[in-house]
Amino acid sequence: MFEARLVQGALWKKLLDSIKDLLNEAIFDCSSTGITLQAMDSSHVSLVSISMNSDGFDTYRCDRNLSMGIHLPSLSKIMKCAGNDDIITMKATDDADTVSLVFESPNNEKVSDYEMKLIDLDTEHLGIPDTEYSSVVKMPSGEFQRICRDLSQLGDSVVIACTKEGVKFSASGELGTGNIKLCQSASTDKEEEAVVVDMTEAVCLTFALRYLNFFAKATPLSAQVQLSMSKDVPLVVEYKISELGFLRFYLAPKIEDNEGDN
Amino acid sequence: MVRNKAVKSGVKAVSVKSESKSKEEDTTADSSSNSIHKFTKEEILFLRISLLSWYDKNKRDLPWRKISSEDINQRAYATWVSEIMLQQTQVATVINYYNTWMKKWPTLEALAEANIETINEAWSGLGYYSRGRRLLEGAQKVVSEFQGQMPKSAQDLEKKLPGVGRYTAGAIASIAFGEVTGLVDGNVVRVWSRLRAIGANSTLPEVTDLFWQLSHQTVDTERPGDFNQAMMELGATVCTPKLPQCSKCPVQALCRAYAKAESDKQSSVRKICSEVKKETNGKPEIVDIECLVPNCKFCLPEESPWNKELGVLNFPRKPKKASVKQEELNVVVIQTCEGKSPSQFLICQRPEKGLLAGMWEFPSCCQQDSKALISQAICVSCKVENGNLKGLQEIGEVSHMFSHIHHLYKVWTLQMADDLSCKVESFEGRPVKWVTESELLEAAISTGMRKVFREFKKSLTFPQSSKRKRESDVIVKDPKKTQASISDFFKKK
Repeated sequence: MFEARLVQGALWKKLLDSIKDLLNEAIFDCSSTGITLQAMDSSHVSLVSISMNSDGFDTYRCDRNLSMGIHLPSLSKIMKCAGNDDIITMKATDDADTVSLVFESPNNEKVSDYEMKLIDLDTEHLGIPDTEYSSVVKMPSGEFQRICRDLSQLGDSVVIACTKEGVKFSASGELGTGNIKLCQSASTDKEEEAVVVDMTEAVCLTFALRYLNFFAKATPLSAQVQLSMSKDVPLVVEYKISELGFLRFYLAPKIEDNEGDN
Repeated sequence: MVRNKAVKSGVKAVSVKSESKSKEEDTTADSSSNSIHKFTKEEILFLRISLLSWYDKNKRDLPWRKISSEDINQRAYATWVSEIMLQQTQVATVINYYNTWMKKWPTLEALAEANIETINEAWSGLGYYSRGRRLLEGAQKVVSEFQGQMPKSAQDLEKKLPGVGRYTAGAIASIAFGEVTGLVDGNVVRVWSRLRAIGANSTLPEVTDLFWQLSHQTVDTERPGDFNQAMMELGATVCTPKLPQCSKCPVQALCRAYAKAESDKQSSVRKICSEVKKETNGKPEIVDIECLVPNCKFCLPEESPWNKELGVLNFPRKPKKASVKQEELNVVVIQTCEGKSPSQFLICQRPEKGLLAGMWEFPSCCQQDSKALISQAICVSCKVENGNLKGLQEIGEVSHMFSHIHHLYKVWTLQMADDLSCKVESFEGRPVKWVTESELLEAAISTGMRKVFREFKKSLTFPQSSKRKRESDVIVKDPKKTQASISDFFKKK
């Protein structure tokens, strides 16, 4: 028996909206400690990792570990049927081939339930090594979304250069070049509006904007986004999911052409 | 055994005696050791020590590194087999082939008695099939002409054995006989061109000469075999074509490409915080190392100079490959009728010369677009009456890349009635045989044909497949790869 009840049902809606365009299908792994998801996009350039802690749910029960293969656009469609204030409960029996979703309006006047077919998927979990990133940037998620959108006008890829003073995003293409430099904010009242750069070593990396724009769809989830970078490893773009956990996107860097041998 | 002794004495074994021994040192070390493309004596010593101690700690455990035989011929034979297999082929692929080979033909004498058909079977899937044939011819020559004694020097090896070139000769001589001789393969080219900023087209004769010179000059005099393997190991595991792991490199301090990339990085960091730079107002701290030779024939060419974004990957430079020829073929998997079990498949042998010489394949014909024409072409080639073939069906496409040609196979399937199948005696005049599935998989067929057969099998089982594969996962292998993949970094659990 699996049951997870979340009063802030809107989080589910936002979460599905952030990944449904990047991933077509994925497995939700449910265990007594919470729900996790790991999946690569179809081109195998980026990886999505979600972790939601059981403590963050209002009630949570998972008697046996359960892997639910889910067609994400379908789940997103169903989630759209929930109101923004609805309480969302997700349920499945141990050997079920469906998952059920119950939406309760805040005053309990309306209760809807939906049942969705699960799909059979091949699992393939990747080991993500623990990495000490040489630069970690925290910035307002809206700002990040804006930067990615703006630079997409100029080119396909963005160069992110990070130094003690701040972080610079650059793109270039046929119509010209663009640079956006963010300085560390000296003093801001609200923590989530600050730009904070925590670094041990300057980095300068190139990434495909197409994917960053997919990631930025998670902006409604959290006011702040965290970018972690080191030379020659994937970029990590992390959004906190309230008290529940996190949504992380990993993006492999661009490489320049060099013919290999052997 | 010589190599073991050297290992025990460890780093101390690195010797300074090289001046008298190394072949081409006198022409290089003195006259132009200040060239940025060469090493000073101190640098050579450092290179040997760092590389060998790194190799002792990090070498991969590979079957051909465990040869402990006292018999020098046996050692040479094992090295020979492994080196031939490793040409143009990745280590991971070779391991199984090597083990099977050594079990089948443990000695030179055993190999000399083998026939070409079994050799092709054992080589099936490795590619470049002439390598197997040449190995056989070589073994036969050693047994019949040299009384089973392998030639003992790199020069003789190269001269007397078929399929043994400069590289393989150097490898066998240094690894099996302990001869102090360097070697150059694709890995070594990459390491040298990065360490010494050799940016000229690495296939030009004078540049190749420089690589060989560097190898002969630097090879360790006490442990030449280990030194050569260490160089190749470094190129294969650390100094890789893409995403080299410079932080793990034991000879980073000697690397001109790395130094240049680092100084670039620092200057670009300074550019970003330009305000800070004005305050400190200093000259750039890192001075670029530049080649002082005018029109140096080893430097990066002027028309395509150092590209900042590439970093270390600026080296080595290779000429642009000529576009690969494309060829479309209709491959027909001809099967006996269902009633007969197990069902058999028709395969024919390729000509004795040319691509995949003597290998077996499914019958094929080129450039026929319609069913009727293909059916007709098959009938003509098989010399059976036209009109008796039914059920010709297209089931898919498979592509296979050879080094110089790109084959696109349209896979067709066809069932042939018994009365007809027993009449097929040849295909385009080439020998044919009917084989069962298990015989087919054992037979000497190429990887391309294995792919065809897999496609065929898939078409049989497709409707029942229960697990849903992610159909959307179309990973486009762009020949000019510009985007790394997540699986380059994160490995399956």
